[in-house]
Amino acid sequence: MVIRRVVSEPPERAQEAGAEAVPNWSDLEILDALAARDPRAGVALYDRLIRVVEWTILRVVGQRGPEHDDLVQSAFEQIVISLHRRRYARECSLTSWASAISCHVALNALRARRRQRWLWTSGARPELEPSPRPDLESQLAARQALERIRKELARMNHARAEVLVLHEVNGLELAEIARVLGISVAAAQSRLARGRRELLQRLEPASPKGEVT
Amino acid sequence: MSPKSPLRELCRGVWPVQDAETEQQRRAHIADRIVVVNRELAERERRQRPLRWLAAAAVLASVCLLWVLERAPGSEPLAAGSVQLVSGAASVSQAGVLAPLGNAPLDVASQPILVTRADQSAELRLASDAALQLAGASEVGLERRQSALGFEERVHLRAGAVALRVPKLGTRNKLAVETRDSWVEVHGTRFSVRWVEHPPAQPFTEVDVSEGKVLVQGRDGASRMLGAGEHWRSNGAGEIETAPAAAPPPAALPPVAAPPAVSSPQPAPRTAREATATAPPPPTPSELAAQNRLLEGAELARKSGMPALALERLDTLIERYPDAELAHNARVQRMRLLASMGRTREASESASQYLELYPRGFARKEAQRLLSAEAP
Repeated sequence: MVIRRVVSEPPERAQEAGAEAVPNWSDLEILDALAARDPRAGVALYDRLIRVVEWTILRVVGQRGPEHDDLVQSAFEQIVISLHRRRYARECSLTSWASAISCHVALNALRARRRQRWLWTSGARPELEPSPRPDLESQLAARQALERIRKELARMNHARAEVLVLHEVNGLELAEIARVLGISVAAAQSRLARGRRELLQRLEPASPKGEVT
Repeated sequence: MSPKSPLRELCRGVWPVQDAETEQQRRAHIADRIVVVNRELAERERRQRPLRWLAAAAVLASVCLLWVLERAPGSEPLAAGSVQLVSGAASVSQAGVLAPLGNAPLDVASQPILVTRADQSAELRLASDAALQLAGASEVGLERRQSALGFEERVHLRAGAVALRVPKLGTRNKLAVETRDSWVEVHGTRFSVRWVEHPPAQPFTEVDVSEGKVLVQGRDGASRMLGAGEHWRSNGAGEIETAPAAAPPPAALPPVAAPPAVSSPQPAPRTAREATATAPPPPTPSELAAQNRLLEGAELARKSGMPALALERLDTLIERYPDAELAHNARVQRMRLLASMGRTREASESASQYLELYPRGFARKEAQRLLSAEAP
């Protein structure tokens, strides 16, 4: 098996760098092709959105296990269903819309994982540290810290966690988040501030159980 | 870990990616899946489109049906019932014309008004097969509303008294007696309703239940259920009285007070002083009620555009109770009625009689004016 290291970069830039030219449609052309049941629409949509979908799911879930491809497929199915139900109002880019749906799918998976009380399934490949740490102990501590963040993220209020991930992980602006979620900018800002505060409180050593009301 | 945004730590990690061949397989698989899901959704929508139209049509039809059912009881009568005279005599007033009620069924779609003279009583059979008895000097309006759920019959008691004997109507049918201040809904079999006026006291409605139950609703809007043997007045603050054991037999209307022996059809002209000196004993409650019914019936007939009937009722009152207190009012009313009907000669005669009987009566100036107007 060939293993490549993917340098973390914002999804938009990664998409530009890796986008394939076949078929190279705009967002609206992809939507029209889906509506016309064009068989090329599947590849076009995949190529347009795979990076942002994978980025979001990997960052939130934190591992590429056997269920990772299922989550990616589930996210694409949700995207197609929401497009079919005309929930996409075309007020934001398709990638922003897809990142919100992927975030939703990933957070649900994180919660399901917490409920099922499994941490690492067989065959799962955890993320690697970007720079080699001097010792194994510090690597383990860093991995445990990331896992704690995900654990508390799964316990958080879903709406706040969603805004938090879209802003902090996917790099969406508040106005874009508001358009994607169909809320006001003030509401998005409020959710972001509350989400940050809630996550920090949960991560405080004094409250290891994360009991935040 | 950044204290401000710990989530940014999640962006630092890197993952080993799959090889190109596996990635191509996944790409092809998910792209196919997208196409399949898209096609299934389109097919499902195509299949469900007629069902949606059907469901929308069904919802629309249900709403229309409910609207019709809701509206039907409050709308104009849809289906005509009929009422038939079983015994006695009564007249029907339609468009101000009074005609004797025959034995032929009468269509109630035109909402007829039935009247009885003071010396008449009648029993009618309504479309619901209920028996309606009209006392003398009574006036009722009949109305029947038919809907898909059932019918509703209403007896508008405008004057006098009625008694009803009602068969089982079923849960969807309704029969009610309405007076000016009360609503009596039938839940049983036999009861009577009377509109009582004792001026200057406030008029009220009396209900006597003989069998079964009726629901009454008075001025206060509160509803009460009356059982057999119970008596209710609309001015009694909702108090329900239980009738004594020796109550009148069920469905028997309170008879119109028998006219006292009258020596002559016209009252003997007497002065008020003489009348006072030879004042008759105070009338019994039943006589007073009969006088009130006659006077009120005359007033109602006049207001309803039936002056001939009003005149007849006034004459009956004057003839039967020439010395009664209400006869004074009746003579004044008679004088005014004749004048309004253009029967000036009879109005003058009536005014002359009035001045002889009541030289200090409250309407003496009016009578004098009538006489002076008649004089050449």
